[in-house]
Amino acid sequence: MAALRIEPADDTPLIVLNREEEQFEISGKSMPEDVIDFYQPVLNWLTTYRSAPLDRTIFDIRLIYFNTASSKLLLDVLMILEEISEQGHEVLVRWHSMTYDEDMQEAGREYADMVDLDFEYITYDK
Amino acid sequence: MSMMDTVKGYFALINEYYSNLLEKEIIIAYDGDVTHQVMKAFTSLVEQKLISEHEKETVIRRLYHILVECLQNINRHAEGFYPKEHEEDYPGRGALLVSKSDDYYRVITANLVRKEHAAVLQTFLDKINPLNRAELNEYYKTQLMNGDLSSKGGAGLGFIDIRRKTSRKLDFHFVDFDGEYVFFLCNVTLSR
Repeated sequence: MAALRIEPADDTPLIVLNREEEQFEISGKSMPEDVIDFYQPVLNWLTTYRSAPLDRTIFDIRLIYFNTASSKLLLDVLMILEEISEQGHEVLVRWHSMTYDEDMQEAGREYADMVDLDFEYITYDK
Repeated sequence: MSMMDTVKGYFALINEYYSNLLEKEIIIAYDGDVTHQVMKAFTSLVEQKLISEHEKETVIRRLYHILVECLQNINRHAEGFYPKEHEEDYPGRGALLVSKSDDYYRVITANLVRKEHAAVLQTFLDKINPLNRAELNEYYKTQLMNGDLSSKGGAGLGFIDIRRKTSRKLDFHFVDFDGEYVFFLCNVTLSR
């Protein structure tokens, strides 16, 4: 299937969804003017991917900021991944955050509570 | 009240309810339309200032978040003075004050909301103010999973998150404006 790549802007994250190269990533800032509009292609892509996923999907979320409107759409993304996992495929969410950013780490743990998915927490300095 | 009186009214009300603000350093004082561009400019301005002043990174992140959420509330929910038939095409109008003191930052907003919306908002804020940390976390998750999110955002996630990130009760006032509108004043204090 065709890859989806959306370049980052000052208020929207980088999106990489590439089955061939086994790359799945959301990174940067997420506070789009129209959050539903922005995430619609992402959700559409993942819904298609759900019908023929890889045996093992590693999904990287490396956000430095997301607003509460984006938090709902991120949950929608994770819920599609949860469905893929429920079908018997392996899914790992790698939740990246700056070492100091406890709020972002807590946000990750909060999502891990809401969906039945394996999370790995990775911290980095700059 | 004429439109000119109203322009004065935003800051007059802020001074009336939060007069001790005048003693602090003002980072931003603004009264006008709150577009997405205005939101981006102000959040970036405050972020850069705090970075240059070597503020703690956690505090910078939190103040940034509070500003985004407060300004988006105005952008999406505040009333402006526009022709009724085109209301949906315009951003909300509001006043914003961001100030700094030795121990905390404050973000104060003032905007008009329709009377019926004010009643819903007040019920919601009265509901989340008494909640403790664990209850707020639970409520946030409930609203995230079941809340009604439209293209305007919503489900009150912004206020719940501000409430828990500041660990303080939301300090707000509703002030009658006319038969149709109510002023909504909100003061968010973030410890440094």
